[in-house]
Amino acid sequence: METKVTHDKNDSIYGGAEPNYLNASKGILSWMFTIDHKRIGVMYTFGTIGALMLGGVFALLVRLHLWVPEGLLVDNQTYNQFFTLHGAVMVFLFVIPGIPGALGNFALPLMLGAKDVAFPRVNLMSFWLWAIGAVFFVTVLVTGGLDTGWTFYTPYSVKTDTSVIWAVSGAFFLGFSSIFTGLNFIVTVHRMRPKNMGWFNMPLFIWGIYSTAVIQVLATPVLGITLLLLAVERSAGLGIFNSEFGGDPVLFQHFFWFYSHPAVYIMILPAMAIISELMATFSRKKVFGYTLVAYSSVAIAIFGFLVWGHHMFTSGQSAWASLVFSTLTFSISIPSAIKVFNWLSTMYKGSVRLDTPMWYALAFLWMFTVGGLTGMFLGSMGTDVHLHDTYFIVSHFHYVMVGSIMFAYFGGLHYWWPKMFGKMYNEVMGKLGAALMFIGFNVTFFPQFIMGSRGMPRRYATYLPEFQNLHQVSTVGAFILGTGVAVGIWTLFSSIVNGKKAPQNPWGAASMEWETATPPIEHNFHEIPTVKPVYDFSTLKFNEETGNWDRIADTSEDNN
Amino acid sequence: MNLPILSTLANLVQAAQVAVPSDPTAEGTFWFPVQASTLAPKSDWTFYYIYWISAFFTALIVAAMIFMAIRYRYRKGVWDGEESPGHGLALELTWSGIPFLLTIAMWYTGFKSYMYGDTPPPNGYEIQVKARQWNWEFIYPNGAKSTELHLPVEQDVTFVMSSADVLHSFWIPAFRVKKDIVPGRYTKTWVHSTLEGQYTLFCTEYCGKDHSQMMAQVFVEDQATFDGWVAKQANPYLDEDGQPFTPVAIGEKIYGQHCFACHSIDGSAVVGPSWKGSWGTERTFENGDTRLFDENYFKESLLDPGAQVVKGFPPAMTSYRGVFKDSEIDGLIAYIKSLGN
Ligand code: HEC
Ligand code: HEM
Ligand SMILES: [Cu+2]
Ligand SMILES: [Cu+2]
Repeated sequence: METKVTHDKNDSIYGGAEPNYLNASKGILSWMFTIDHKRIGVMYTFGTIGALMLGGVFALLVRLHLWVPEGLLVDNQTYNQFFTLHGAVMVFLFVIPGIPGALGNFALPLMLGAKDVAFPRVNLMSFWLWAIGAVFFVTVLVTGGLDTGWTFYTPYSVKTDTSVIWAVSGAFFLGFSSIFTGLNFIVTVHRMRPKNMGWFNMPLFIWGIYSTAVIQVLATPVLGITLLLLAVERSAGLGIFNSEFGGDPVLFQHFFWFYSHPAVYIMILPAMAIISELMATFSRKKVFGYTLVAYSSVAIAIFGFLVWGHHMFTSGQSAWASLVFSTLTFSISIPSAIKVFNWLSTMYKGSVRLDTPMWYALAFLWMFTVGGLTGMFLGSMGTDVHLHDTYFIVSHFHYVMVGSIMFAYFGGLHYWWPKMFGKMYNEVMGKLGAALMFIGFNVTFFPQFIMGSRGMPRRYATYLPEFQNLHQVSTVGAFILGTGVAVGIWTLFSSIVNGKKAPQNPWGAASMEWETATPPIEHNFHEIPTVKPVYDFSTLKFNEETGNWDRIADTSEDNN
Repeated sequence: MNLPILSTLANLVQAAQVAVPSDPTAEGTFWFPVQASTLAPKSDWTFYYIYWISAFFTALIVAAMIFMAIRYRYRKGVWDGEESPGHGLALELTWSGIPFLLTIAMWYTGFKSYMYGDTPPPNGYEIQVKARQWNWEFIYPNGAKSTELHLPVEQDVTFVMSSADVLHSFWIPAFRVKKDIVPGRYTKTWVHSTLEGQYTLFCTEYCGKDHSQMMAQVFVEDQATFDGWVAKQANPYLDEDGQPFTPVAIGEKIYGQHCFACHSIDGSAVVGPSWKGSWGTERTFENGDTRLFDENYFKESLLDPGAQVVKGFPPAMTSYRGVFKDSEIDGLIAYIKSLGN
């Protein structure tokens, strides 16, 4: 068999002279009205990084204020606004839309060998709804702020005179944005797979994004309606959640968590999806137990709907309801644990390369282990009573939402960045960013576990002096973490200006987005590449001269 | 030199020392405050069970990760790893099955201690807990009210809790009890304290501006001390032998708590007029009216001080409407009378 290099018509692995999706058309309007999934992914990337920085400023203000027991910066009211805006911006504008919007949009159609998502215009709409939601949140900042916590618990959210209506309207738009993204991915995966790519020949990234999409479509409407009811109650005095008008505050909690627990899987499944890609590519091995990992994504998506009551063990819901929720919570922890073991085993007898994305992947394994295992303390009813609404909770969900999800997001960005912008970033700086983030994160959040179980409640603007040492350690960590994030973002963005040109396939990845030019041409592929067995790295050979991994002809057919 | 980084380092060292107290029963442990209730050891048992399992698996995972990242690292020129199976049913069953069995115990012991904490025993001593933005009030069976929580040691105590405004949550870390307080309904929890001492009660459900200041002191006392305290709290006007105060003594006590900052009893003017020799005299007001200092004038001055402002004084007194019982107002009158005219 003749050796055939299967990358695109562009004669060079560096993209050639043909225009790519970034420079195929010019002008701000060509971006604003683009229906190209790659450009939409890029806009989401910039947008969600902006949200991350805004939320990060509030995070640093919160940590700085807690430097001394009586509060360093502001009065209680303003502090309450800081933590609320921090949480709301991070959750609704960064963590939920981040990976699907930025990396899902960019990579998923390419991985399927498709020209775009199923409904490109709906996809554009999804981005603009995100932007409108963001505008609403910024409006909240200037129209009285918000001091309810990101959870909007009633009846406080009905009584406070801050801008609750603006905020819930913003979340409402963001909800639609999320639904549209999910809808698009579901249809895309069902309808636009190449003929000979079966479900079990899909990269695990697609499995993860697909499972996420199912939750987005099914759970988000519940949040939308709940927030709408809250707005009506606030403006018209309708008695739904407020006991003064005959409503029930606990009902709000049920509705809220019916969405927001599945939402934590909207956040983590895409992160897991990235980790599967990174572990496979940088170990040069198919993900160990691929089928089980794929199924476990779907299992998590389904079970995730049935555990919301574990946020309410002390709320006054019946003990028997709590028992059922505790049981289901432990059941769902098993598929999550299995994934960690599978990722680990992927390295076994592999050829492990520690490039920057792999640093993030390995950091993820530690973070998710800590975050997931501390979930056990909370899933167990007896221990949760003591730990609920303390810094232990704060630390738990930061280990998953920041330690795991944000790290996966950064890992994914560092992985696909060369494909997105055609530039390699500085490896040393990339690793420095990852290391600072890892150290900073653990210094920030590990002490919070200890504080929490020793008696430090969450959402406190002032605190007892006995917790000062631990708070100060945490604040120092936060600034290291902030520096790490800044270094990471700087490294990526500066590469656009002064990075080396990226080859078509710099990491030796086996999925299809690496079989087109870097950056990809506007319509992704001139001809759909042939579908190869998923995670088959055996036909990729590193070319020392070009720094590219060339596809060589598959000789396995001759062998068997 | 006082660089922030230096004091931070010092704090780190201190934190490490605080983390390992010399006497765990008095100061708590690395993870917990003292165990001061019958619930605490049960709850902590599950915590430590999960904790050691977590520590084991974390160590295992990190060790495996580091080992494989080194052992199977890419070596220059050798791009491929070794052949190895892509999945292994037995292995996967093992690492699903073992965590499954371990979690059953977490689930079960957690459930047991939860049910223990969630089931108040019958005939417990009952304290009403009233939560509002941003303070606590405790009402005892004999009618005593206080903003501090006092408990008899080694007794079952049930808390019946309600909120006047928004959600609150009742948390005493030393007891490991926590229960939300929901407007529009009553919630209950209970505790059997085992260790005399002073602890803190926190509100741990966000409730607005001063949520972080919504704390109360908790005193666990032996039965006799508690009985004395609660009796005195119900009727603060009893002397050492349980004999009721005279009206003058009642008035004197209230004066010492509420009025002394503005009214003297030696004739000197402070913020307001002195009470010495004022009873029965003619008072002159800012608008020129006059009136006799008698019982009705006293009561009006107390409930509506702004209505008639004594000449030469600022209208600085706030109304005491609803603060005092009739017997207390009588006591104040008797006390002022006793200061002569
Ligand atoms: C913040 C300071 C302040 C406190 C505390 C205060 N008062 Fe006064 N009180 C005043 C001032 C000033 C006046 C004179 C102006 C007026 O008549 O309102 C006054 C007037 C009075 C008068 C009318 C006296 C007169 O000479 O005609 C009475 C009676 C009185 N106070 C009773 C009390 C009692 C009883 C208490 C404690 C329960 C009390 N006050 C606490 C500031 C205070
Ligand atoms: C998979 C990623 C996860 C994410 C993103 C996540 C996120 C969160 C968040 C945001 C909260 C707190 C919300 C709040 O009160 O403001 C939370 C609480 C909780 N988590 Fe997780 N979590 C994850 C995994 C787990 C796992 C694996 C378990 C258990 C098996 C778990 C159990 C719990 C429980 C029981 C609570 C409620 C604790 C309480 O409020 O008392 N979580 N989690
Ligand atoms: Cu949850
Ligand atoms: Cu509170």
